[in-house]
Amino acid sequence: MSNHSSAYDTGKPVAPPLTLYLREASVQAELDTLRGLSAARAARRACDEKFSNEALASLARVCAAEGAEDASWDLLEMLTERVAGRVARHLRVWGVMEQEAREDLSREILTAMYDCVLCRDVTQEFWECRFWVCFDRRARTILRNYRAAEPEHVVLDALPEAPAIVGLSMEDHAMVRSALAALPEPLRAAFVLKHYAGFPEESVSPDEPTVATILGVSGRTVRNYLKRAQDLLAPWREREN
Amino acid sequence: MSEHTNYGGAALDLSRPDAGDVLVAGFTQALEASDDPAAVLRLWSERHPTMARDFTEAAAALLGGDFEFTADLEAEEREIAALGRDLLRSRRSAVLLSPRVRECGFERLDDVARALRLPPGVLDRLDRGRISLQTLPAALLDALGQKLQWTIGEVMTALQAPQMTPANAGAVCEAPAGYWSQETFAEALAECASEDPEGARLWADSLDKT
Repeated sequence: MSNHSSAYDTGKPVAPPLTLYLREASVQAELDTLRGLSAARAARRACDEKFSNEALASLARVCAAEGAEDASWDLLEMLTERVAGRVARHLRVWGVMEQEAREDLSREILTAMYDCVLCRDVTQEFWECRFWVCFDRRARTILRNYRAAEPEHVVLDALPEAPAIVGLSMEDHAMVRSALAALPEPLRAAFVLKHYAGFPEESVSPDEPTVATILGVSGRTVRNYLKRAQDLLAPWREREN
Repeated sequence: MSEHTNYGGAALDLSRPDAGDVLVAGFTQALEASDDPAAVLRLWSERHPTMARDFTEAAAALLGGDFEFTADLEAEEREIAALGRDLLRSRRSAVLLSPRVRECGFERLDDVARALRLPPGVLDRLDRGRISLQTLPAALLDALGQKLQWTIGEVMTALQAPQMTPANAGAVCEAPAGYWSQETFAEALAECASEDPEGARLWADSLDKT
């Protein structure tokens, strides 16, 4: 990770060093190829040459700060094309099937990305270091809040049927993957915490981390999640047997 | 199973909204490098209980292969990309302060602030939606309207528009309560440094009179 490069060290850097973090060397190298260009020209070239998401985020922030709004929107449009598939995956993992909710949540996730990328505040700089970490965390927080606002029975009723599991391998890694792929959130988080990390469902000790405390729900809700997870995994277990 | 996250070596302030991003990045890195991902999840969850849910979801996504390419998502992907393009179109067409500043012969927002004898930071915060509009002195709306050749209604519309550099970014990343909340004009005036203390005092006095 570096903010310094000499390979293209001619002209003014298009993106200044970050205040708190260091960009990945590969991202910095991309930005260094744009030295000496105006923010708007750098943005055009970055779009043409398919730069990394982190580099596009850096340039969108620079363009916004320098008043090159059109270039900034163009960069965000390119990022939108790149994240659309990821949003679709998140919606599927959280079992959001209803069209209106899908559209509302997609808009909310995209708006969060636009706002965070363009924000001048130093606390959003990390988007220039690890774009997907920041994006996924915002998307999951929005979807988690959406689910948390619904009563438990609505959450459980809204979950899709378990998809058909094909090509199951007997290797552990592949089995875990097949099982997790069959479970929507929040059942999947409960399943991972209980059966993978080995946390107890609940505890009389308030200091002991449990599935219930981590998910912020009651022990009874955890048991309902795990029961539903077992039901969804029934076809998977039959195949395994 | 190290927890070391090297993104510049700055101490991690857990009250900041980006602390969670840095921790999830470090956790993911440790998970990918480990032969025992379950132990990594347990250890990190016990050390950072408030982040345990984030770690669990990130681990499940990684272990479940969430983001591998699947052809059946292509139609949904196209639909979401179209939604995003519509969103961006509506934002592009919004009336914003910054382009108007240049149309009126100023180079930057800071130049308008100087012309108004206002600390530049205050106008920047106003542009980013960080200051509650109800707390603005009427004289400031008048003065902004004159400098930007807008009616007070037009000034208010621009200040309420979706911002190019919004203040509420990160509102979805579990920042501590109040981290992103709006402030009053008086608070912003007291906090922002000014090259023209006399001008700042005049604005503070204008608040006392209202």
